[in-house]
Amino acid sequence: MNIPVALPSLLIILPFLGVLFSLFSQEDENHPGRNIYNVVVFTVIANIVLLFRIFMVMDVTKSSLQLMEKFNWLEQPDINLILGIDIFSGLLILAVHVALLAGLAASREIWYRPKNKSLGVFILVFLGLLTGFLLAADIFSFYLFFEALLLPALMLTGMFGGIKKNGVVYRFFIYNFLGALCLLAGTMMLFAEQGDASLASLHKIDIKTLKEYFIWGAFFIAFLSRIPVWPFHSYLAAVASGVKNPLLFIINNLLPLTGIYGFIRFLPKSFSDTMLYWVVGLEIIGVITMAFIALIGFINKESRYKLFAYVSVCYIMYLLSAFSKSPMALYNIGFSFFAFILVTSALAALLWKISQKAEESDVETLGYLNRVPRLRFIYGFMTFAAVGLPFSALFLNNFLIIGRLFKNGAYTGLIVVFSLLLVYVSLLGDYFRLSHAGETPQERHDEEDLQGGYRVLMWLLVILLLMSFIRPLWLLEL
Amino acid sequence: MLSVVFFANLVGGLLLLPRWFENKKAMALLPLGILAFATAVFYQNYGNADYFKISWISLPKLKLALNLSSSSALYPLLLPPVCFSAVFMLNNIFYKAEKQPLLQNVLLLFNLSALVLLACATNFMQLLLAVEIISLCSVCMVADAESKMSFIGLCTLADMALMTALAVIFAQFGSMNLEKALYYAEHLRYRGLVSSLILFSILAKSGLFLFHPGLFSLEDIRLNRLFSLLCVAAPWCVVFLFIKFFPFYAGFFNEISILCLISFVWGMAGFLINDSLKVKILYLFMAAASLIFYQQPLNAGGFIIHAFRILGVFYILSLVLWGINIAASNEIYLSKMGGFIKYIRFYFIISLLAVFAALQQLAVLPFPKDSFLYAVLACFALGMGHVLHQAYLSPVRADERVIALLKNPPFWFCVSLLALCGALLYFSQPLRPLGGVAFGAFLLLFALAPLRFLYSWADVDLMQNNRFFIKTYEMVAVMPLRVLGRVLWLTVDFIFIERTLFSSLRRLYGVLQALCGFLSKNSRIAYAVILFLGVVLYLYLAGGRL
Amino acid sequence: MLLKFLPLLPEISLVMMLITMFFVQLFRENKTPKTFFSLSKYFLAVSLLSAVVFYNKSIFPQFENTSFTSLMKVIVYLLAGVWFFLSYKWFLNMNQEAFKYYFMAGIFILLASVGISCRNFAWFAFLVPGLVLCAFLMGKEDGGGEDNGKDAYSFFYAGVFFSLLNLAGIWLLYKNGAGLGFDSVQAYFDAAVRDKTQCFWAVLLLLPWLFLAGGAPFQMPMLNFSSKAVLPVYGFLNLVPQIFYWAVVINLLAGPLKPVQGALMPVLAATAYLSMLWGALGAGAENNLQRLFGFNNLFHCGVIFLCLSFFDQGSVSAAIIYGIIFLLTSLGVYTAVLGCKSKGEYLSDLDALRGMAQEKPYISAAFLILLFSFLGNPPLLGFIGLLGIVDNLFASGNFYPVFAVLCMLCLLAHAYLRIIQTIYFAQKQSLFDRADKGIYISLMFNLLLIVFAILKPRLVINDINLILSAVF
Repeated sequence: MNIPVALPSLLIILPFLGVLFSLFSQEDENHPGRNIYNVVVFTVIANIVLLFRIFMVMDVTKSSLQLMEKFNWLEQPDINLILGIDIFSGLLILAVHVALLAGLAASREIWYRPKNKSLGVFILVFLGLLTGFLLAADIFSFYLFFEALLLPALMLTGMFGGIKKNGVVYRFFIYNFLGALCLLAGTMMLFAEQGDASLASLHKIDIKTLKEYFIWGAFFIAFLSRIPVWPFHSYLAAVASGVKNPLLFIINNLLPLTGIYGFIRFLPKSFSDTMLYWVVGLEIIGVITMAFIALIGFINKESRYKLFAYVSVCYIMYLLSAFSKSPMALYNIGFSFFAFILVTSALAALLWKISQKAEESDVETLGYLNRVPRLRFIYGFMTFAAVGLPFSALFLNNFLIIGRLFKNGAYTGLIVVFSLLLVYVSLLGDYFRLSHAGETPQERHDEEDLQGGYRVLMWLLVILLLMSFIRPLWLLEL
Repeated sequence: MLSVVFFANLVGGLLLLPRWFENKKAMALLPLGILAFATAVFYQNYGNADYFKISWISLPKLKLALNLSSSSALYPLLLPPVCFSAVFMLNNIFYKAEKQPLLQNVLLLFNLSALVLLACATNFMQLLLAVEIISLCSVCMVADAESKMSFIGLCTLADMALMTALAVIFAQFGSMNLEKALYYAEHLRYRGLVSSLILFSILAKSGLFLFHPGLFSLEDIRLNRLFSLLCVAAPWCVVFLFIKFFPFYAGFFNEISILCLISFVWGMAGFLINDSLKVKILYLFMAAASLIFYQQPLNAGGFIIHAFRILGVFYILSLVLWGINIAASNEIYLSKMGGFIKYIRFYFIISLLAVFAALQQLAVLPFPKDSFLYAVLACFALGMGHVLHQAYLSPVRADERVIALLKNPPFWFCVSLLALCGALLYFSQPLRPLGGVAFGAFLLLFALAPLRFLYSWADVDLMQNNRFFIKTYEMVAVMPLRVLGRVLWLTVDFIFIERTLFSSLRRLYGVLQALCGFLSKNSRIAYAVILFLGVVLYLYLAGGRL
Repeated sequence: MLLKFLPLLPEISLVMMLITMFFVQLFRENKTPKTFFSLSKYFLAVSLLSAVVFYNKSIFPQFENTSFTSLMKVIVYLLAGVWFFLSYKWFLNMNQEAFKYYFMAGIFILLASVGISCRNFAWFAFLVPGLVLCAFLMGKEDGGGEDNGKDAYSFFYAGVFFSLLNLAGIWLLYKNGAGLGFDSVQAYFDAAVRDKTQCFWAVLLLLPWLFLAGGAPFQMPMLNFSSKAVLPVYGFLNLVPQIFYWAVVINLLAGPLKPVQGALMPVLAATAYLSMLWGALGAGAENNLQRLFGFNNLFHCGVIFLCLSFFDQGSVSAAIIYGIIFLLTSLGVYTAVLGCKSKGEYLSDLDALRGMAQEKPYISAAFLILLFSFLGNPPLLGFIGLLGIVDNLFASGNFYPVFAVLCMLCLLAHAYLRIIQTIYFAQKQSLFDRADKGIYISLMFNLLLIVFAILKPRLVINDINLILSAVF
């Protein structure tokens, strides 16, 4: 099919057009922040529509990248920016957009304040760059978007995150920056070695000479710096527990996605002995970190930290699964990620809503959900979906992922299951603390409950998740 | 046509679910109607085989289908839960204390659909799906917060164990087919691990000794819901799993038998000692569960009938106790009862009849040795005699209000109890003399109450403490995890990473900055020294290379 | 006959500019900073145009115009023009005399213009002290306080020291028969048996330029002096002549000092590493904006010297491209600094900028983009510069220098983060004055140039590469 418009690049450009609209939008004196909010929401929705269009023109039976685009950027060195999309990246892009919508809906009151234009600008820039990252088809493009993400992430976290300690923001930036510089070093070394920066050229490299060690080491460190694997987990934990804004919580929890995605794309189809040795080492660190974070989440009383622990454990599980390199792995991870991102963003949005509403009503969060049955239902649904009950694609795909992990080794599998169990129990405990404990009266407070567009969006998320469980391939059947 | 049963229950439940908060009893009849329709279909097609599969995943490397094909072997498996579901729906409708009868009945519909799914399961996903739905329904039946939390912890643990076991099997065989897995069970790589996990997931919800704390966390929930949980949800799920996965744990059967023995003794002991009627019911369930799992499920149909009978016995005896509770205006503690025979004579007679039916049913059970059967009968006779004596014949210790309001349980309750008695007696035909002897023994024990000294133990906290095992498990399993988490956080995150690593880096950076600042001082002497040294250094560097 | 001197038009125009300014100062009654700016504007325009037109025309063998030298001059004139525009705004606001500044700056540019093209060490003997004197006179404020006087004199004495070193090197060459022309000196180094003494002479010739460029460990006099000077002087000294210094170093290394390149590479490398480290650490500790960006310049100069220390076509191209991008970004940053005013005073303390983003979003955004460009963050222009450096070094098999650059860039990031944190994340403490429209216009052009270059960098870089091939 001849597509006259370059659709993947349009996916990246649209948010930046949204940025321009945001910059030139006038502030309404009576409703400050509303215009910018609407621009951001419409841009995200427009991108989702465009994405569905892309799904319609893609050949779902092909597993390779499609709708490829190539832009010659520099001649010396010869750098081309190559974009492409497949089912896996398409699912992730969709999930990211829907997650941001959930965050936007939850944080609406924060937007309706004067001088919030920069929030809209940075969110859209982040969205555009993250989309670009997920569409990148060669290493330079990866690097470009990988590092470019830092600016909006830093500004959003620092300006709107509500983090009191400067050191947390500094550390957040320095870690990510270091990782990005490693990726630059690895990319340029590869370029110097092979003369081109395609993923295929990377796969030709084994880990034998010092140079090859450097190249692979640089890539590994770059992606690991984004994933909450020891010792990089502490800064993510500090940010996650410090950030109050649900949208920013979601954004910060989307950053590890870039690391996992990088591993999935960069790792070769089969490992040599040397590489296997390092991969095994990384797996060991991964499972130890999983157990560690799961334990800390278990003892921590803060809901946000528990959610962060859950997110981290799942990310590491996906990372370990990415190493298995089985043909079905991408599908499993893709579908699981889709549901995972939706569920965690919904939970983050709802937690914020609960704490906000409880504060407004001057009541404790303990047992708060007793007052608001709709919110309670949705929160319960999301929690149960998160713990792997058959409400989403997590149910089937996590099983397949865990099965694959057991194939690698029983101990790995057992530690993974143990960690999952701990985070599941933490989440469930939190849900029951919010919905049952305490002396909160049983009467309904409809004015505090989910209403309007937010309610519709949450129900849409519920339907999407159920669809992902009932017919996991429904997206491909459109 | 099990598929019709499945869909009728599922769709019906989904349609009624949005009105879950309704407390009108009339609305709660709707699920009963749906169940009636499903039951009619069930009976009409009893024993008929048909083929029904829904394709779920059809990727080239993964094909999964939901199997709802009926076979003659499946109907007997599902007969007991269908019967029990109907009974408990009626309970929910007529029990005044139940505020959400519609929701409870809808949950029973979902539970039954899930049991159909479980029974028909031929692949891991369907099996897991069914187990999860049953767990979810069970959790939703529990209203009390603390109980819910403990129970869901139990369900999560059990379901994760099952999922892990299936994942290991899947990892080895690359297939989710249940039959294939059972066929090749002996060649499984981590057979010990898989067997242990499956056994754990079964026993965790079984209520047997050491695994009973989870169920005992339910002591605060309403009795109608307790029965739904104990007779329809948890046990049938466990029984089906017990049957399906037998090849995996067949080698552990001696150990299971010993566990059942201990459970029975512990259950009966608890039944005798504990003062609360609800807790007694839970101990009775423990004893009943031990009798169920004592049998090897070599013949699935026979095993189901055996389980059906035992649960029937449990239910009828529990109903007797429930009736006393209802009659006594929801008084839970037997130590606050006594002398009820003067006030609820009619119900007393029904109680005797119920005990007779129960003992007759027990006498029919196929135990491997007669001595075992005698012992079981003796224990039940002793237990019921002891409890009923305390309620009916012991001196009056009840509250004045309780005595004033003491009357026979409602009509529907008595009728249902009588109907159950009739059903049990019908299914224990021909009546065994042993049952009559046991009943005679019961009457004797009821009159004499040789274990009267146990009544005083109602005031002994140690004897009434049901949370001993829960606290022990918390101390042994949960507390170390908390301590470990805290220690790891403190040592690794805080001391090693924050205080050692980052703090050192920060200090090093500070030192270097201070050095820089010192060298950048605005002092002519400093300039002169640095410039001179710089020139010398560069001259040296240049001179070193030719 | 006069036509023969047309290639000297840029320099002639500058001389004319100086003479005109002098007479205007002497005889004109109503003279404002704008007067001197207008004058400089036109003469610089003539210089620029003539430099472009006569880009490869030379008259004396001692004074050669090539595409490389013309490019360097064009950049100097452009930067000077823009900076003069911004400076006059400052003088207007502060209501100060601008003659001395414009005159000295004009002399400085003239000397730079001559220095880029000259190929004789005799000129250099006067060039170095001339530059030092100009800078000293420009920066020393009459009645500027004890601190300013002390720093100015310290710089002057250091400048004298290096001028003497330069003179010593030239005299030694002359005394040993090398002559003063670049070609003769190169032939001398080529033919003579190389020993340590010759390497020392070469170092003596190079050191003054390292000092003027602000390379470590010689940067402190210049840094302290310029950071205490008024903003226009500070900006001028740190911006305009930088590329001239690098061009001179390149000319020296590609010309007379080519035979002893091997001996000078370690010197450049040492300068580079020291500059980067000192710059990164120093910037992180500073609260004074001028000193902070002074250390920032030190770091980036270090990167350029590192690249130059490998001295092949690729590394020189990469260094110059990096340098041009650095200067463009620095221009933007200094412009933004000029836009930071409160209660009529230009702000020089970092803490004074707290929460500026709430009131001055465009200037704050400019800071943000430009600082991230300094960090080499894609897709900003600085990334292209960094990419060129890294690519070149890796292509020639030099891995460890790249790791050093990247590590120190991480250290420098801390300084930028402090600025961003202060501007964006901190609470506003004071009100800020309205910035001049010219600041916004200048910033807009600067950022537009950055954006345009990002979209099609090959258009710019390919041309520069072609021009730089003339060096070799």
